[in-house]
Amino acid sequence: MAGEDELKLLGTWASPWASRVKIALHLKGLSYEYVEQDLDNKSELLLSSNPVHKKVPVLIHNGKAICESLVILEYIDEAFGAIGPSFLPADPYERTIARFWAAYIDNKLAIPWAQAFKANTEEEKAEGLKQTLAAAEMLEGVLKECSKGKLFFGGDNVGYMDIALGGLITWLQETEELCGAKFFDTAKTPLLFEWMERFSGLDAAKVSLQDGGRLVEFAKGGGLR
Amino acid sequence: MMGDPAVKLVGAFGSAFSHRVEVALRLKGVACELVLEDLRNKSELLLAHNPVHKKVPVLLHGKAATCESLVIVEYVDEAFAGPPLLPADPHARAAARFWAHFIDEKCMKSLWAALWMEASEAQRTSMAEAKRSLALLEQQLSEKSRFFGGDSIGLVDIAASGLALWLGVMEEISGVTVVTDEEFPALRRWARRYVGNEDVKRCLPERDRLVAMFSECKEMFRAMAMGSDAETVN
Repeated sequence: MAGEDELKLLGTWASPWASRVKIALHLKGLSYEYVEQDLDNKSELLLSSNPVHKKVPVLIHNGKAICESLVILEYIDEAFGAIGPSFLPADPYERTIARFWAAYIDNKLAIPWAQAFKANTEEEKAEGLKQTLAAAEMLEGVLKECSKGKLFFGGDNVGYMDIALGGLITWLQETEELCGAKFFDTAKTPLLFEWMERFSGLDAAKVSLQDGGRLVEFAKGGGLR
Repeated sequence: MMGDPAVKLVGAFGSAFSHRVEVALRLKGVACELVLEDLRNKSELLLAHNPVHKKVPVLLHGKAATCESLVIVEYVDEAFAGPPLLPADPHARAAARFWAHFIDEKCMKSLWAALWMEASEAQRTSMAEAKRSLALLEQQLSEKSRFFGGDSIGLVDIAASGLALWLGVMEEISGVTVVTDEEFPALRRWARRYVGNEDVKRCLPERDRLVAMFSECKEMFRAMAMGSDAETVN
């Protein structure tokens, strides 16, 4: 693309959804301005860029806003197709598999997990945890199949599914105590555990994921919306 | 075309989600074999190809078994030639995905609750939320365009298809009205245009049959709505 591309990311330091976008931008080698948002006192920019949900992350590219983390990932992949690695594979069926599992991560993992650590009753917590651990097992199986013995869900390189799950790593790790169980368990889900270590070691992850200690305090205070 | 693998859609009569895939295939000019499931007695075929959610629709195409209606619609758009269901421009594509997702996450859920919960504070809240969401959708329809997708039907129209036929059916059966000509004129015009489209007509179930079928489910829907998360029947 000729000329200057202006990229601005509206996020919060704690948001795993914003982490997804940071990871993606880093992998593509794109520079951007990060603007930390105060969700208790929402900025004009946030409200005008995401009038529907008023949430982060929002990516603003040359003045145009894109919302919803997974939608943003696909956007980055398409708008900057000529730059850096592709997140989604070229084959339509493999793209579908990646999209299906990313949606699964959002609906069948993230939601019950949030329920587990925010739960008001022991019952709610137990149910959330049960579903979260079932999702971990499912993803272990998916990793075995999708990676075909390679390093990531995307194969040799980090792909869409890796970023979708990767953004959540610090949250999943640091809420183990609150939830009462490990998500990344080297005994129960060995492949997933290895994947997590590998992903966490990437530069993109190191600059985009949260500081664990700070996150634990935040989570205990009832943080994530 | 010679040598192309056959396309099979595992769906269910009356399913708004199956319809989404059927209409996408028809718009792309893709012939498919339709297999209708009895959802009370799911077949081996369905369970084998959608072990995760065990739901319709499932699209079988060669080695591909794709699930989740909107994921399938994007697959259909990418795997087959024919008129595009999503715009070319990345930002417009992102907007289409955003609104399709919005319809499923915000409109459908609150609508379901508004229709089937018993009259209560919670039902009134759901109704307000449903109307708020639909108002946002209404704003997306301009005077100039025939459809959300512009001149032709696209992803957002397909995602919204439940609003074009099924919503009216559910309003009739439940006795609860959500969308009126006065409050949502653009959406109503869009709905009439959608159900009047030649391609769409060929994959729409008859309204009378839908009314008959869903009337029998009234009590079940009400019972489902009493739980915390009301999921649409699939």
